[in-house]
Amino acid sequence: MRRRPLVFLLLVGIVFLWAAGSTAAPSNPALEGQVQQIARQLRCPVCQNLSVLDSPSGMAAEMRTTIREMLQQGKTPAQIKAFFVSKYGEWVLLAPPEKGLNLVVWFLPFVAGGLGLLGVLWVLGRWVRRSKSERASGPVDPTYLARVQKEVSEFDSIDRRVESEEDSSPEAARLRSLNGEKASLYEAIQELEFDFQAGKLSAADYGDLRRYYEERAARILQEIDHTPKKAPAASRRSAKTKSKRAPAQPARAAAASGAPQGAKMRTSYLLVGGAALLGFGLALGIVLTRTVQPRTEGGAITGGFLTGTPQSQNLTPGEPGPLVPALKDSGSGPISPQVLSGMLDAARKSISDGQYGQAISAYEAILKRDPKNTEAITYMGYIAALAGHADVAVQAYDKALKLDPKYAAALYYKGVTLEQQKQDHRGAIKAWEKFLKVIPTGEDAVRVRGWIAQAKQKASGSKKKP
Amino acid sequence: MAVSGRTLKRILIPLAAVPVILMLAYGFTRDPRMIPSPLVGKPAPAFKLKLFDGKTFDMARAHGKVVVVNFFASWCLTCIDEAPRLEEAWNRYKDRGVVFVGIDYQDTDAAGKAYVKQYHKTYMTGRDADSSIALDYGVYGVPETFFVSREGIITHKQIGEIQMNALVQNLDQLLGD
Repeated sequence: MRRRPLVFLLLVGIVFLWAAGSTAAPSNPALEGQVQQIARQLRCPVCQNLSVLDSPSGMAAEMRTTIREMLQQGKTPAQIKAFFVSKYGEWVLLAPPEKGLNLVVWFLPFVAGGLGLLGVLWVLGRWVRRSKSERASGPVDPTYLARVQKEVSEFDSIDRRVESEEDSSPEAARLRSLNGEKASLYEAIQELEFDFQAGKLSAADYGDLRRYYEERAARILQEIDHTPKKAPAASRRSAKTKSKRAPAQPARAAAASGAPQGAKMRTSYLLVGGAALLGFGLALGIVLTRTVQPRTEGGAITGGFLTGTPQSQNLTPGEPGPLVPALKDSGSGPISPQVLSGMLDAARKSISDGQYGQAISAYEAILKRDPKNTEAITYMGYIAALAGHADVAVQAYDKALKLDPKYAAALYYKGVTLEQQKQDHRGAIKAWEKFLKVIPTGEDAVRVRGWIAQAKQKASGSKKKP
Repeated sequence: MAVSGRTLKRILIPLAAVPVILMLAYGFTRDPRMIPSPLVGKPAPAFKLKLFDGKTFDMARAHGKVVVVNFFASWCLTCIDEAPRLEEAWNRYKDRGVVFVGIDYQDTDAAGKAYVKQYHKTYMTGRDADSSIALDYGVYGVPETFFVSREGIITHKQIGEIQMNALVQNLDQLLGD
């Protein structure tokens, strides 16, 4: 039983090898080359994004034959492709034609790549310019270095939050940027200090890094001092009154003077941002709850709300649409015994052919119409067992046995799963003994008796072990 | 009011994301499985089908009648689901100048015949042995159903299982009810 998938895979392999062998020796290599070239550019209509050349499906084989015949009739590759486009639309071409809106698909990656490259070059250029200017400015002024060391010890990261943006002149913008950079460096030095005290950095590393940050901060301080200040009158007045109180922190005083306006603007930004996020979340929530739903058979992937798929096309059981007052849709309502038996036959055939996906679909379709169908429940369990889900399988067998305690197939497979996958010998023996009460004679009964004997041996063996 | 470069940057960067979000939102409204058929609105390709009963159906001679062309296969479970509906619709419309043709796709003769017998199909059915009709009709898989007007124009293509209301709606429309 467990060998079935292996046998199926082996057979598929043989078929593939045969197919490969049969295409490997074409009678007319030039013609076959042309067929392959065209087939490579066409999408197989029945597969998931495979080309007509790569697809093993019967339809793709027919398409290759058609291509071959059309070439023999003297048709050009363009005419052949046009023929398939006339039947399936441009979708059938694996590469969209380079015209109209399709050009976006062809050129957007290059445009995006080019823009990305320009961005990288710009950033690199900025780094190079900055390091050059740092090198060109010579040794750092010791006065500024001393000021940095003093300011770092007094620095409070809260200072960063009080920058005025009232003045939009380039000088003010530059000052804001420099002050921001200075504050970041001060923070970095403080963190470095903390890490060093915590023993996370060696003395040499700490020394090097601290020197590097301090020098950079000193250069920034120097630049701040040399940038012309054009503070508004109110700020200047305010700065004057505060300069006596905090002479060592001019930036802090100047920034604090513009704090109410800046803070107000930040609050409004936060409010607007928060409202936008809330709106987005609400919209997403509403859209998702209206669109995400269990997909119905034949239903649109994205649901009916977004795609505009009319609900009347997917009628639920017993709900005939307004257009068919006289006829009841037979989509998923109760079905006749003949149809049910046909569906069960098809599902059994799918299992014996190793087409488990198809078998699952069939059993699901049956259970939709007849949820208490013990055969469908049992074989869903059997497929689950084959996939290695022994617990799911046993649950399914138990469900079937609850509906019909004498259902032989469920008893049989329950024993197999318990014995082979769960090594539950006693459970298996129990299930098989019940099976023998239902089916006391025949081929299956003989086999099951043999299994019971083996399981009993194993059970007694495992009992003897300490 | 003058807008500073920084403020402009703050506005422009999130704005740049808007077209991307709109494009994604548009993408969500599209169903990737819904590929419009280029055949709708065009003349139905002519074909001759050797029927299971030994006769031959010629599409060219069905001109003047409404034709329902259904592609099916014995191995197709959805075809089993829709089979009673097609038969029911056929019985309801057969006296009103409507022709139903079932085309067995990628199948064996024996399996096709057994299927027709098992599901009591009384309309014309036959096997498309070389899939040439399926190719001409741009079939992606089974089941697929085409509605052809009296003038021989394909008015609708149903990919996948067809429901009763779709059958009735299309046929009534073509019959001018």
